[in-house]
Amino acid sequence: MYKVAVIQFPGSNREYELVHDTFSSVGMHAELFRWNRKDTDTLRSFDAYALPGGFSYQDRVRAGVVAAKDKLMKILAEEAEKGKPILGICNGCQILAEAGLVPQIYDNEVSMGLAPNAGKQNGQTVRTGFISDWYNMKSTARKGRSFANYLVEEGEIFPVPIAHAEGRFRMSDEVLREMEVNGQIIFTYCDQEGNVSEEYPVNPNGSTKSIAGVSNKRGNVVAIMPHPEAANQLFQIPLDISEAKQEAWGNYDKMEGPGPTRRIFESVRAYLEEMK
Amino acid sequence: MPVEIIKEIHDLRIHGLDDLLDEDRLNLLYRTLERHPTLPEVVLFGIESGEHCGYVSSKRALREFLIQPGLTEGPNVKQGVGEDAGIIYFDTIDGENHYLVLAHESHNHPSAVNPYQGAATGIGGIIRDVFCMGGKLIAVLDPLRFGSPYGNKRRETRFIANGVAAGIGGYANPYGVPNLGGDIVFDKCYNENPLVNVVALGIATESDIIHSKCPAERRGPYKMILVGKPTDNSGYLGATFASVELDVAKENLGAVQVAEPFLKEVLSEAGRDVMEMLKEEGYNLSRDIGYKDLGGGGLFCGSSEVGKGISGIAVDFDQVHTSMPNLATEEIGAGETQERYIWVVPESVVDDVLRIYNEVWDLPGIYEGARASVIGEVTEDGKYVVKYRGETVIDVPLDFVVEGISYDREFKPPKRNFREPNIREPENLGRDLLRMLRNPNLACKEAIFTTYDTTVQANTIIAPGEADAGLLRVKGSRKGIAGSTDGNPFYGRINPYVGGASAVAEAARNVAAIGATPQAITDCLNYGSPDNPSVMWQLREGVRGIADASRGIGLKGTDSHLPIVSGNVSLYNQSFNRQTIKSDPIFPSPTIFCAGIIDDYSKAVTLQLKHPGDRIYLVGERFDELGGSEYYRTIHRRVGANVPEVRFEYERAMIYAIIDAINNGNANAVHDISNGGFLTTAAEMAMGGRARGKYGMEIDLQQMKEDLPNHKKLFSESSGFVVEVPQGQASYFEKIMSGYGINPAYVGDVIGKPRLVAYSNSTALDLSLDDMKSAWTSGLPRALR
Amino acid sequence: MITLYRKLKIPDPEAVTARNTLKDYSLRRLDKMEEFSIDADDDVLKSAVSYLYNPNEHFYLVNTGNGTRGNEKAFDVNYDARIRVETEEDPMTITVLNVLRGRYGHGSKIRNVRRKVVWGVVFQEGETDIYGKADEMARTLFANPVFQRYEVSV
Repeated sequence: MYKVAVIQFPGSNREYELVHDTFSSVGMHAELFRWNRKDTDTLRSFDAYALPGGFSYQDRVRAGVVAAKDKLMKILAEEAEKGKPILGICNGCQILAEAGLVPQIYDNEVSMGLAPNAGKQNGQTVRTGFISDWYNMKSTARKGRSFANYLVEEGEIFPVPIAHAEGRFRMSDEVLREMEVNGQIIFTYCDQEGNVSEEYPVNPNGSTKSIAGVSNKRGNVVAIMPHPEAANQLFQIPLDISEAKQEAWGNYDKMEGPGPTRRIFESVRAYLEEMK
Repeated sequence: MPVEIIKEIHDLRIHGLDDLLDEDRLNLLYRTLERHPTLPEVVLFGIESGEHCGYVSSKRALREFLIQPGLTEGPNVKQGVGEDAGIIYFDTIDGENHYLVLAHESHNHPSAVNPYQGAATGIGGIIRDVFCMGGKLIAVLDPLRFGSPYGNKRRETRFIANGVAAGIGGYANPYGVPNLGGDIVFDKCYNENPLVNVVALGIATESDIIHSKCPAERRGPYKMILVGKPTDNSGYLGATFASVELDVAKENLGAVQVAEPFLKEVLSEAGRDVMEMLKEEGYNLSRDIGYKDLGGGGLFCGSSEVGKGISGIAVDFDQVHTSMPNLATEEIGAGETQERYIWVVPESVVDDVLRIYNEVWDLPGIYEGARASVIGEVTEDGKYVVKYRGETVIDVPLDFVVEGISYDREFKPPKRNFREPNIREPENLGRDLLRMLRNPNLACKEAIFTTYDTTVQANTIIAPGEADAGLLRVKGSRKGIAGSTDGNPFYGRINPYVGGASAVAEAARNVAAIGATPQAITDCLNYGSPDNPSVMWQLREGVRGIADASRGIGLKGTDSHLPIVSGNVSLYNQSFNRQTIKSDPIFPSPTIFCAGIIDDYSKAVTLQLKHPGDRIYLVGERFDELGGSEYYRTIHRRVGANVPEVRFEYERAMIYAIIDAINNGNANAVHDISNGGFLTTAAEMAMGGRARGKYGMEIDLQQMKEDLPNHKKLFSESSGFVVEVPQGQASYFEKIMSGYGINPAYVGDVIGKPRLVAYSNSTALDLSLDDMKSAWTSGLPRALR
Repeated sequence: MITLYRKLKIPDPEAVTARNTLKDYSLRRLDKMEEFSIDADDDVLKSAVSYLYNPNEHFYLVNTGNGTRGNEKAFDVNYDARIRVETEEDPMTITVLNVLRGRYGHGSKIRNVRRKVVWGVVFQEGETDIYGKADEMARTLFANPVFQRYEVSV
């Protein structure tokens, strides 16, 4: 069974669902790994890594930047060199960006940032601050480009919750061009029909090109701002946006069963299978 | 420097502490100790005998109406009032009993002075109350009351409302607990006195439960360990804030504490590791360990109350880790530095506890000055003794000091004159409804709750806004945990008894509206100054109403009342109004939290209409009860007199019948009727709780058989439910209702057109969903800009 | 046009964490404060200042053309270097502008509000490369190269 290390920094708060529910739902084993543990050999023995959501170091100075400087991140960088998958969700995405592990256009130089939310309409900023709500994202990379969309068809749409205040992907035009050419933009915000728009509320935070998730060039490091682990089971989806959940009324097993983002986690395992 | 002795009130005045203690209490202290007290002893006694820790003015009413009649116990109650949180049975999972831990508190005065920090530390405090009973936090809720956003205090009100919302999210989000719901009311009676009440829910197994008391049976010496943030003097005398009116308190600026959710999060992780370690060492947490959070009254209250009725306590303040040098005894003892807990543990595990905090979780490394320190021990002499700088600075009988005192306050109903207004039939029902939907009291609250994390922990089944109550899943159980808060101050203003009773009824209806059965309630009693006899009368009436409702609604499936397992009292919510030259109390504002359980969470329903062709039933007769209603207030600026009565038998029957109908699959959508009456309920079902609704509703007013003019039928706030029933389920639904003696009225249908239409002989109302949504979703943002 | 400085009355936890993260630099002192540049008509400046600071929580210092007022002592520190960081499209300033213009009714009298986070650094005695070290700290921690600008002054 593949083993995933879920890194726990002081202030991480979405680690337990990853440890107990998400990876086990697709037949993988996940364990908590506290940031200050000395047994780095154990850390290196894992097959994959997950950086969970939360407020590591209470987002001090800037979200993710203090955790990014931790020596544990150097070890993760080395393991990533070997091709192991690293998934950063929300705060994990911010940490990966501040550590330069993603998009890796110029090695591990920091070339991307998750700026404070600024949802826009007609050029005006209409929404700032922390947003916790459901949006849609779709896969905008060819199937198999990264471990997160390994089994996901391009164009597939997922309802997902977001819960962040600093989720606005920003990078220089040059870096953006590189990422587009390389197909590194894995997920993009869209409406229910899959239309991409940079206007709020389709794009909740003013993210460049409505980017929701990116990978490094190799496709083994993925940083995504929404929370696919909170849409992994049917009961988690709001009733009013899910016909499947309405139809599952009275069916506990269906409710506990797969949600729309299950395939993203199945992709992680499929990727590991391939890499073997 | 020798410790200061207090001989008379004048000595207190020199230290600015004369608000703390009056002559009578100072003399009582002197007589009990048989000597003049020291300054630290005076501060200790002053805090313990004040409102926040001592409930001095409300104790009599609470004992008389709730405690003595046994309403704080029940067949599903493991721990009633008396500790930091209440505990009720939830489910048995993998053979282990699981319990819900519930706590309810207020942080009103501090939020008026510093809205962000006041609200944040309020959330911090309530989280601690649940955590220190052994509960793993699963939700918070926030009943809030703010001034008028359009009156002459609009700036202050908006500043406070925005700050409070930011503070609640600013603490709960990093800590990682989802918001399950809340309610917000705006009125100018809160202009100077906003109310920030907070509720927290946790889950604990039998072996997790830990008491905030020193263990009664001790086999060996016990030590006291202080963990967390280094003590400073922030919030010094914050507890006395609660015992004076706000204008006085504001002068003592500097008293609001600062919140650190990050540190709390780390302390929770470390605390959990300590609990696991203790279990592994063979200790029974409930029997052998004490664990208490430091909140109001700081270290003095926390370290003394653990010994109440059980033992003596000796503390050495030199061992308390601090972040400021040269603190006085009373600053260390009464400062309300956040994020601190105390453990009372056997001597043999002290080293392990210290190691977990100081090394494994590296508290000193993560946060300067934070650590775990041994500060004292349990003694057998029944005294509370504090040493500092080589001197004994406090030496008092423990039970005397923590027992506090209680006042027999005078109560008298005020002379009030409420009259029903004479109102013509409205010319334009649609325009009136849109105006009401736009009012921030009725408007959609998503502008606020979408700033609260509602998906963290990934167990949210129904999030705020989608239905009348929120719903959580617990892994391994089919049951769902439902929760809702409520409390209508406009009813309380006219009739404080109804204010209390209806708050309970509404909270219970909210829980029933998703299909869950109410299991227990908690309360926060927010009133004005107890020196005012009419305020004391309001308080007593409110508590009497809560008590009657507890008995009236009951615990479904048993003969029991609905237990009240935790609560809080907040008095002195009134300020001198320079314009009216009066000191006006807030309206009687009890807030109630109701916890419910649904046996199979997959059967829960939300309030949004699901299928064109389904029937719409009205459950709950409409009475001429528009006193305190949204309609009177928004459209006619009148108060009225006929508040919606709580007819206990009828209320119970409706609630139980709705629960059965939902779990039986007879209902696609349910919404309870409260503010705004039947028409508002119908509009909200069509719009959907998140304004995602696609279907409309057609209502035949002639099917509402009450002998009332249309506007009274549509806007009366008599309690009830509106239910969407599929055609094929109609006869089953009606049968369940009649089994409880209820005769629901089939008043309309769900239609495919996105419009709300009501007609009798002619069309009385025809509004588009878009127009309604536009008014409803813009109401709150406009009020907060 | 005035400049308002504000800092927490209690030790700033962000500065504490930042100093810990920068332990290799062995800083003797690291403080954090905010610098607001308010471009507005004279008659509304006082209102803007009162919105931006809470005497319960902050020390403040206002620098007008003609001098300073406020808690001067709290800001009287000799730093080796100051690092000023500004966030592009800072949502905090957007909110402040909206509130002062709308809720407070000052409209176009408020032209602009800018905010910079100012880190004040004191190095170890005998540190020679003050500018270089401060610049490095700014580049690697205090400012994200994509959406934040910084300047170092010694």
